[in-house]
Amino acid sequence: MNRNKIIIGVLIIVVIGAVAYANLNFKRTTGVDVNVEKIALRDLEAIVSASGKIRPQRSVNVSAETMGKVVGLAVNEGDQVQAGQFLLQIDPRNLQTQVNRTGASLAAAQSQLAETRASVDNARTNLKQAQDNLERQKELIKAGLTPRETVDRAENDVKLRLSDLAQREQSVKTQETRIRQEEANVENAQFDLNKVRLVSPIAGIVTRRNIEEGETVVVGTMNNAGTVLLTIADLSVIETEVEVDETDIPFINLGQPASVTIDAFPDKTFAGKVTEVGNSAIQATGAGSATRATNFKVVVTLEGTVPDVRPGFTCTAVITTATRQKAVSIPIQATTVREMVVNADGSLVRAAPPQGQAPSRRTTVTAELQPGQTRKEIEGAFVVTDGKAVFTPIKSGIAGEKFFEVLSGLKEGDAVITGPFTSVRSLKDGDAVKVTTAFTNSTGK
Amino acid sequence: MSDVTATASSLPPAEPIPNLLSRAIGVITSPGATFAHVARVPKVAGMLFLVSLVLGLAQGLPQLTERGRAAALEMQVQQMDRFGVTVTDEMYQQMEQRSHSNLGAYISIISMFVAIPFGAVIMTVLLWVAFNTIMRGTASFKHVMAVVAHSQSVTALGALIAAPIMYAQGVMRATNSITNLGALLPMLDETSFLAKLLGGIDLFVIWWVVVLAIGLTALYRKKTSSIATGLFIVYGLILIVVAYFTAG
Repeated sequence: MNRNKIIIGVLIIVVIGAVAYANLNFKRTTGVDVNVEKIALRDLEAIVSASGKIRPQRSVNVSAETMGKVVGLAVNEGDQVQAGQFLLQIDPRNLQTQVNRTGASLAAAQSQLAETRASVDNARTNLKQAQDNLERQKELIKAGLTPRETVDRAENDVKLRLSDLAQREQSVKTQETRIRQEEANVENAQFDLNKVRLVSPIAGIVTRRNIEEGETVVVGTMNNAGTVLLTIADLSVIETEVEVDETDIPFINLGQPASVTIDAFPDKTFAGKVTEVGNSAIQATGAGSATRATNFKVVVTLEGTVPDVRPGFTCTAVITTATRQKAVSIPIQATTVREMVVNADGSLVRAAPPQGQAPSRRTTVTAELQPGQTRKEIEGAFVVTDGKAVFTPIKSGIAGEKFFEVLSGLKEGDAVITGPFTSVRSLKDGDAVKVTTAFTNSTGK
Repeated sequence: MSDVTATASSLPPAEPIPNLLSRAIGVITSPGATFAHVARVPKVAGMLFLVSLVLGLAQGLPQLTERGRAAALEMQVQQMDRFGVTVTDEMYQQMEQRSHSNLGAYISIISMFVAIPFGAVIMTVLLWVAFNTIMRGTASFKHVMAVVAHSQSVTALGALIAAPIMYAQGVMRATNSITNLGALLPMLDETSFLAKLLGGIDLFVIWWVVVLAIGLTALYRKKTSSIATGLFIVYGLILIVVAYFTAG
């Protein structure tokens, strides 16, 4: 009986001991389900994407410089025109009359000048006669043959003739000035007359025609788009003006390559280069302009010709701001920011649990700070090590479409937690994790 | 009551009643003989006090140390997580500050002096009603309660073994269980039905059920195997229901 009791007791102790050992050593993984991806080397491209509109590099709006009815219209939208080619004719009769009137006025002035010049000759002749008479009277008074009164009269006559001559000569100058004025009027009228015939200033395509024959045009003003009669665009060089967010603009430089996708041609992309970067923010107007994002103008000039393009097409430009070959890269969704405790030298303070004690999930954040320690928000990623998520600070480089370049903190082959999003967001340093998906390597840049 | 008295009076009068500690050890080493004494002279208070004290100390003493407090805090956070409460950093800081005092340890000890007697009363009511009504037994409530209280010696032994091991491991569990069968199939998802079911099966609980059946046999003169089978069926049903509703 005692022997049986001993055997039963030993068996109980062995069974209990075995189960207790299993409980303490074969712990079931109780961690958070996570997806894991291995760090790999990839070719990365940092891009900035922005949308805008297609436009020709050179475009001229043709407006009228004089008012009148259109009596001849030689082009339609889409017509190819050469520089100097006739576009439209405004009724010239009014201005032609003006030319005729000023011409006649000029002729009259010229005739009057001729008359004045003839009168100057008469005045000179009269003066000569008066001077000769004075000389004779002076000879006679020396001989005592004439009275003093006659000499005085002859002297006054000379003065009178001199004055008359000066007046006539001044009239000639006045008339000459008037003729120059009339000539200017004629030239001006002729210039105005020339304005009624509009020709193309450049070679290109008529991209817009806002006028019909018989309509009356008004004088074009800079700020009134309604006065534009025709738009001639040189479509040999196409560019797109896109609006880039202020956070991206520091990375944009002249000459950077870009690929442009025009919404009208979704299956094609066109290569281009950045040719202009705005220095001033685009002024937003209208309601909500105060809350609108601050954007800057960037112009991308497309290489080669773009068939069937129309100014005003909407497009998206993807500008490559930097490239890296075989860079250590991490999926964007794996990066996160955590408030961590750091030493004075910047090293991370990890919560080392007391001997034999399980690590606390929030020790690094909530523990009281030691002298020299501070709390700091650090960018990093969770690396799976021995079934735990270890927060690893990283220094990121350029940002590709799906990956960040990792300058330091991680190496090729490290297993980083990429999801699910809620797990990455709520994970704490040292949390137990359970890998639910096999290691995968994403593709892309 | 009269039947039990008659049964008790039929025992040899010369045999002395073991003291409290002897009875507690006797339930472990020689349950049949020990429960025969309990059936003859039912004593409840001393054993309930002893069991409560052992369980209270096993639960509370570790919390008087920094390691024990950290383990208790972690257990508290895990339980809140399990019940769907999101523990924010602010909440955790407050809980951590509160854990620095010894109040938690004292509360754990004192709570056992409430929980164990209360649990024993509930268990006694269920057993007394079941055996006296269904099986037409005649044991008094005090006799049944004495058996239940003495059977808790097994639970106290389990706590005595588990407490130092868990303290050394730096962990704490609400049930003080380190002998459940959940560890036998670690490949199972912990939220699965089977894992929950195995996790509920504890060797000390099985031992306690056997001891309880032996104790009830001493009162009701039935076959131990029959009573044990009935108790295990109830235990199994409870485990299945709990596993079903707690499985993810």
